[in-house]
Amino acid sequence: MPETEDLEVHLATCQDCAGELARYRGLLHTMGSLRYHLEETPPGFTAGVLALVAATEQGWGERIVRVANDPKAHVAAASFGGLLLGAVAIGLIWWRTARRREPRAA
Amino acid sequence: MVDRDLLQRCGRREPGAFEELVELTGRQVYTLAHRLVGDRQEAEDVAQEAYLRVYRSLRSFRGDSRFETWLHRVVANVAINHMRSRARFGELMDEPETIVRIPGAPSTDDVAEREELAGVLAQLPAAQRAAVVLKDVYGFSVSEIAERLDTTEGAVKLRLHRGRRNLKNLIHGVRESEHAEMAERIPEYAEGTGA
Repeated sequence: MPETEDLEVHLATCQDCAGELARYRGLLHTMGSLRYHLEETPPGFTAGVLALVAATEQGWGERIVRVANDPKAHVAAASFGGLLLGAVAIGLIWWRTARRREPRAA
Repeated sequence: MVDRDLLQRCGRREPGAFEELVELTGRQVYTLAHRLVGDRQEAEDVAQEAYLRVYRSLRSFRGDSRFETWLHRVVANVAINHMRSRARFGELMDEPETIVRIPGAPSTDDVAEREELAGVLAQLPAAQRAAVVLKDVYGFSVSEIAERLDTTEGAVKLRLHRGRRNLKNLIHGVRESEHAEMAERIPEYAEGTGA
């Protein structure tokens, strides 16, 4: 790359800057090795994670049980079921009436 | 290394399986969270939130990539969202482009120590730190980082460049010799020559 030529010439003749480049490359190398240098987790870390997971699980379970035992939910479910049944019945009646009115093929 | 059997047992919600997974990967997850958010207490919160997401979505993990890679992505997403919620990314525009070494910072001899480097990383602005940690420490691609940070690849490259230069300044100090201009170009040169 032509734009780095002047820097490369300088690096070849300046020990200070060549040393700076070597130190910088060393820094990048050390950065890469940080991935394998693991920190200790705080005390009670695993227990904290498991408690959080358990609380979430319990939350969903509790919600399902609460809805299943809620009389308002029962009324809502019965109303929805009644509406659905009514709609199906009306649809059937309409369909049968429409079929009777169709002219028969000769 | 997490084996397929353990993941399957976790997916089936077998008692003790998830605990085994947390014990096995906890240090990795906590370390990445800490490197990204730069604070131990917040890192613990991020790690716990990440495990909650892992627990919920483990059944959808198809094994196309290594589990550890997938886990790192989950932690990175949670950490980035956490920093966004704390408006740390918003602070980026107000932060100085260049950070000058503060008096009493580690000397050149000490910086070889990883612990010192990890400490200096925490001094970088959040978005620069995220880019440097994900790329230089965990090997994420620039496009992947851009996707996670919800920005362009150009913006990530700029953050990487500034982050690396700031890191160098924090560790080695800013050169004030007649060669300062050349020294300033060294990070870009080293990155371009595959360092």
